Parts: sequence; C-alpha cells; structure tokens
Amino acid sequence: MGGGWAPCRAAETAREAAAADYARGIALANDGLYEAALEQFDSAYTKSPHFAVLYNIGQAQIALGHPLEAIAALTKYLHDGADQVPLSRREQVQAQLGLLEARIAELTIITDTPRAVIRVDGREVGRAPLFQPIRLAAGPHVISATTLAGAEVTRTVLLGEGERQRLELALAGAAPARKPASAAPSAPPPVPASPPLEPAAPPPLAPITAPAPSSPAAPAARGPFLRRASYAVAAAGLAAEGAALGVYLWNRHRYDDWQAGNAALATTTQGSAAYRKQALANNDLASSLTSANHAILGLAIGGGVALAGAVTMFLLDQRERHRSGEFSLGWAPGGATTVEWRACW
Amino acid sequence: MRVKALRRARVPVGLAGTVGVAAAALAGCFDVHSVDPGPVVLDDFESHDNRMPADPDFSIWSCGKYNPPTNEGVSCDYAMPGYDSDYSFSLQAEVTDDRDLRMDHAGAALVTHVVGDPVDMTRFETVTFAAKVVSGNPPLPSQAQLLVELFCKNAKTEDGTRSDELRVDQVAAFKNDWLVVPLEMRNFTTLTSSTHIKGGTLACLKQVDSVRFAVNAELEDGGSARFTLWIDNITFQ
Repeated sequence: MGGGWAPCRAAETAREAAAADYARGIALANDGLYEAALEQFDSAYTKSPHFAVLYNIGQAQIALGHPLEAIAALTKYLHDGADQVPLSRREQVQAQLGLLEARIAELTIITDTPRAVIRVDGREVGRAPLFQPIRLAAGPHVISATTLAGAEVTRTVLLGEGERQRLELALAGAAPARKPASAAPSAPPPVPASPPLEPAAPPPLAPITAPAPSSPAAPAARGPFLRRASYAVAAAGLAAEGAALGVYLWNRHRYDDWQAGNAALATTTQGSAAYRKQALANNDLASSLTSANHAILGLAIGGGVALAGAVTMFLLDQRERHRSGEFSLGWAPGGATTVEWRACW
Repeated sequence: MRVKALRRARVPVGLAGTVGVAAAALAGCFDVHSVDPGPVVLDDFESHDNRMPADPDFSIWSCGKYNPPTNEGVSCDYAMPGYDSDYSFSLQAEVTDDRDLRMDHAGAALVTHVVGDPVDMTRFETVTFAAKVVSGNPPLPSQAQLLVELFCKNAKTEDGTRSDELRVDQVAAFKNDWLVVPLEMRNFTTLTSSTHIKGGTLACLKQVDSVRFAVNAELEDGGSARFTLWIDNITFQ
C-alpha cells in the first residue's frame, strides 16, 4: 500500500504543474499568442501526457501554419483518445485532418549521386536515393544535397498547397559550396553546367513560379462576397421583420378601437342609424387592419425568407472557409476531452 | 461535405423559419371582421339631433300643408315613443279642402331634402318605415291615403320642361297603430302625379332630391280633418 502512494503523489505533482501550464496555454491562445500557447501545451503534455492536450497542440499548430505538426498532433489525439473522444469532436478533428492533408505538398527529390545527404530547410531528411516523396507544408523550402566528398547543390522550391513537385539535383561535378538556386515547379531543374569552385557564378535563379491556385482558393475568393451578401440579406430580413413589428405596433391602438367598436355594436340595436354608423366605422377600421395584416404578413414572411437565405449563405461561406483552411480555433478547456489533471491513476 | 453543411444548416434555417412563422402568427393578431351595417337609415329619430336625419345626405325634417300650401295649422317634432324605440317623428295637422266645388286633394306632409347632389335610389330595392296615423276630430275620411313621394326636380317632363313637382310616389298602408311598411322601389310610379317624367319612374329614381311622407286627406269639397302621423325607422335596402 505505502509503495503505491509515492508514485501517486509524484504523478499528482506533475499533473498539477501540467494543469498550470495548460491553463496558461489556454489563456495565451485566447489572447492569440499561439507560439507561447504551444510552448505551454507542449510543456503540459511533457509533464503529464494526456491525449486531450494534443487537441490544443494541434489547434495551435494550425494557427501557427504548421500543418504537418498539426496533423501529427491531431492524429495522435484521435489515436490516444480513442473512444474517449466524443463523436462530434472526432468528426471535427477528422474534418480538420482532411483539410490539412489536402494542404500538404509532396516533393520528390532525385539526385545523381547515391548516399548524398538530403536536407530540407537545413534538416536532414535522409540519404539518396529517397524512395518516398517528402511531405512539406506549402511555401518556400530550401533543399540541399551534399555528397560525401563535400560537393553540394542547393535549390529553393516554392510549393503550393496540395502540390506535387519533382526536384532533380545534379551533384556530379558540383562544387563543394552552397549554390542557392530555385526550381520551377513540376519542371526539370535548370541545373546549369556550372564550373566547379565558382560560387560567384551560381546558376541563374529561375523564377519561383507560384503554383496555380488549388481548388479551395476559388471558393475562398467567393467567400467574402457570400459573407457580405449574407450580412446584407440578414440586415434586409431584420429590417423587414422590424418593419412588420412596427406596422403591428402602429396599428395596435386602432385594433383596440375596433374591439371597442365591436363591443359597442353588440349593445346597439341592429338596423338603427347608430348601429349602421358604428358598423361602417368599424368596417373601415377592419379593412384598414386587414391591409395592415397583409403588410405584416408579407414583411414577416419576406423577412423570414431573407433571414433563412442569409443563414444559408453564411453557412455556405463557413463551409468554403473551412475548405480553404480558415479554421476557427477551438480550445478544449472543458468537456469530455478535459484533461483530468486531478485524477490519480 | 455539402450534405453535412446542409444538415448543419437545418437548425439555424429552422430557427429562422420559426421566427418567420411566429411573425406570421403575429400578423394574425388583428383578428378583425366586417359586419353587415344593415340598411341605409334615413332616420330613426333616436339622435334627437335638431331634426337632422341620421343620413347626412339629407337635411332637417320640415312639415307643411299642400293644396293649398301653407304652414298654418300644421306642426311636427320628435315624439315619444317610437316604434320599438324611444323616439319617432310626428306631424299634427288640420287640413281643409277649400270650398270651390271640386276636390283639391288637400293634405299635409313631412319632408327632408337631399343635401348636395341628388341621390340615386335605383341602388335600393325597398324603402321600409314604420308609420302610425291617428285620426282626430273631424276625422279623416276612409279614403285618406298615406303616400311616400320621391321628388326629382332635376328630371324633365315629357315636353322637356322642368318642374318642382316632378315626383314618383307609392301609396302605403296605415292604421292607427304602428305598422311597418315595406315598399318596393320598382312599384313607385307617376300615376298619382299630374305630369309624366321623361324616362319614366327610373329617370326620377336616379335623381331623387326630396323624400316626403304625405297624408292625402282626400276630403270632400269644403271638408276638413285633423290627424297625427308618426314616422319611424325609415330605411333603404
């Protein structure tokens, strides 16, 4: 028994520290300080690994534009959380993963020198030949290959979202010096026959061609229009509903008059002049109120239709935004995925 | 994806729809209806308003005698009770047929004139009123008549001239207690008047400018009679 308490107390201490980091991370994230938030989440996870923290790490990575890291965190979140992840949250994360995957570009690197060290953005990713394409986030990347003899070729590539490019690095005869160059997407690299040891004459920089907009870009352009249109239509709908309410309120006292007149008719001899006079006045009011009813009905229905249309447009816009990667970050400070820091297991 | 978005859209769209339906229900708040105002009431005399008829198209009630025309020996005013009501309008008269070796058709009448443009009475099917005629001393002859006369001075005679006496009329039944008398418009004729109207009865009914309730005493030459006429609830339908 006593042997079980010490580890439990240690774990409890770690969880308390992690809980503090986690809370700080949430606060920072809510302030838009995602870099700092990520550090806190990482710290919390390191101190007390709980799958729920991975969700927040993933969201922070998305916010920081690190799709690969986000995919890693969210995939682990789903894996580790398993059936503890609520279905709705699972669906949301899966949707995010789908969108993130769609944004990942792939770069196939080919060299003419076996065992050349391949680096991407300064990080070694393997030695030639690489049998699989490298998954990278969209954007510029510096690719280099270095032979055992020290010859090095460096290229800069610009990857678009979801784009697949092929880069051939010719190391034969390359000087052991850095020669930054760029490669046109989907085209054989323009590797000029640069004389060795001539760093002053690097291959001309090929223009970094931005890839054609990927499919989500078009809806994204349409998004602002839809969003603005939804606001405008919603405003029109609200105005119509307000007008309906205004017409209703404006006519309420007239309806009271009509009711009073109707009550008076009940006590007036039918066929008398007074009855006729009252009836005619009441009928005039009734006619006017019926017109008001029609106006209210028309405005209310028109306003309702406009509001429904606005909501539909807004949702379509939201969908397009999701498709184009404009995530709204959702943190998990509570709920089923809350980190149970105080539990001792 | 689209299906999911549409599914997600159900709730807010439903909410908006609910708002619309609620607003539509709000529109139904003015639960109004029209009522049959009933017949056009020329006057039921209940307003007691300086002899002004209930129908604003007509001017104050007045009374007089005819054949010969005079205001002496005749009076009229509101009277109590009315027919199933508080007030009616009564005419008290003593009429005399001048001794001139002929029947002058002397009588007395209540009259109201149209204010403004003549009234088209062809839009009505009947004129209904309650009347009571009580004979005095000397009494009314048994052949005395109660006439409803619709004057149309803007009409023309057959020879194209105008006359203040152009009218259509109809004899109404009466007794010495209240009697509701419905008269059909189509039964108004020019038979009792001395002149014929160009266009006939219809031409006169289209431009009525006075309504008169007359008691034609039908006295023998030199005879006289006293009587009281009560009128109430004069309506057009």
